[in-house]
Amino acid sequence: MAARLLLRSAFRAGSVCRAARQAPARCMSTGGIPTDEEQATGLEKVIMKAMRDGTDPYNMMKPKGYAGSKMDPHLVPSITNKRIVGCVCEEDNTAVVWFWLHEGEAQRCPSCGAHYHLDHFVAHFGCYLHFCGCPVTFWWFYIFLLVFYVSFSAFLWQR
Amino acid sequence: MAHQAHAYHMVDPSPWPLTGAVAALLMTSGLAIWMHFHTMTLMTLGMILLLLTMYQWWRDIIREGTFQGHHTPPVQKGLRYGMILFITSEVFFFLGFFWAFYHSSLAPTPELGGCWPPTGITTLDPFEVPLLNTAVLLASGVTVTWAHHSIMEGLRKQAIQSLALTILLGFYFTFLQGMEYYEAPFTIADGVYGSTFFVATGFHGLHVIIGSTFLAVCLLRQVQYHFTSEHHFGFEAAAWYWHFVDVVWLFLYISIYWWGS
Repeated sequence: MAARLLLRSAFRAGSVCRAARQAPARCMSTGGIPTDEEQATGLEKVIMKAMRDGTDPYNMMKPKGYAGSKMDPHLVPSITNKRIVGCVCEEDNTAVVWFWLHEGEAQRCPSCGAHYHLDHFVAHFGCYLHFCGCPVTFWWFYIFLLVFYVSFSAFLWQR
Repeated sequence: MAHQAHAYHMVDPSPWPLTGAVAALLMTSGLAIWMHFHTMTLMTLGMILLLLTMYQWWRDIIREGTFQGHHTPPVQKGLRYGMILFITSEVFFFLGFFWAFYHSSLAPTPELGGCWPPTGITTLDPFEVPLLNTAVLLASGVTVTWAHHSIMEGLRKQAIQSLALTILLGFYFTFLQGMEYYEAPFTIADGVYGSTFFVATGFHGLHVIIGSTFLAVCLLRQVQYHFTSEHHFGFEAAAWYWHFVDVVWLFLYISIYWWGS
């Protein structure tokens, strides 16, 4: 889709021509419509900056290809000290081999023997804060249930 | 873990899907109550709840995308897929009514006089108001494309003017169709001709009103600086929907107004 092409081309353009300012000439002062550079916020802005710098902190792009040998193991980026790896040993295999990859020495896939090494890095999230809501305590749902139950019972007992 | 390690949007809990479902329940049961017991209370309640749900849900989406920055590239991609799939489902909705029209008109029964248009039906002249309506919608397609290019090129004044013009053309179409409906020599009760004509054009008219409303919301957002020259998917979705409405009209015009006359 257009957005995927936009993603890939923006990423490549950002990583290749970092010096050449290909940023659009239009902005608030010339036309009146802001650019993403001026107005993007939150996670969108973080990702925009990362794409421009050529990094991919949210794993949006295809992972880099490695040989998987002892000398050139698959490097698995992780923000914690372990991450789940799913090895598709041969192309078109439908059975994926899943295992936890721990920090430290490289581990091998129990099926095909490919080497995987955890690349534990400390994530910098900038000033973007994510608020994760807890789904258990939204009070209005309980009130709705109560009202529904009472009115339904009243309707049934009326007959 | 307070921070997410992916680019997707895990939405906060929201009551609007529930209120929307309740609204659907009240509207449908209200419709049945209206038909049998002649009281519109339940249905009206459902409609009000539906309007409130739509307003608040979409307001929340605008807050999440424009003000909080949750609409990252993968999220936007998902929204695009969503809109395309929705429009596709609407295409199939209209296909049904075209099927009904062609079923009845290609092999007219003896009850109709064995001909189409059926005996006794005076059709509308396709080269009068319907042709004007076609021109109006085609022109609105041009103006909405003009609006899109204005946004992409960062031209605020032009974007606002062309978008406003598109909406005005939409209103003009609705007004003209309203006049046609009022002056038509046949009604929805006039056999299968009336049924197919008014159901197909009627649903199309409803979609024109929906599309115009969507564009009007975009105009409001554009005036308030929500859109950037690169990221303005709300507008693109409205434009896609508007082009869809235009294409449906073209098919309606060719099939029902012109061939069917």
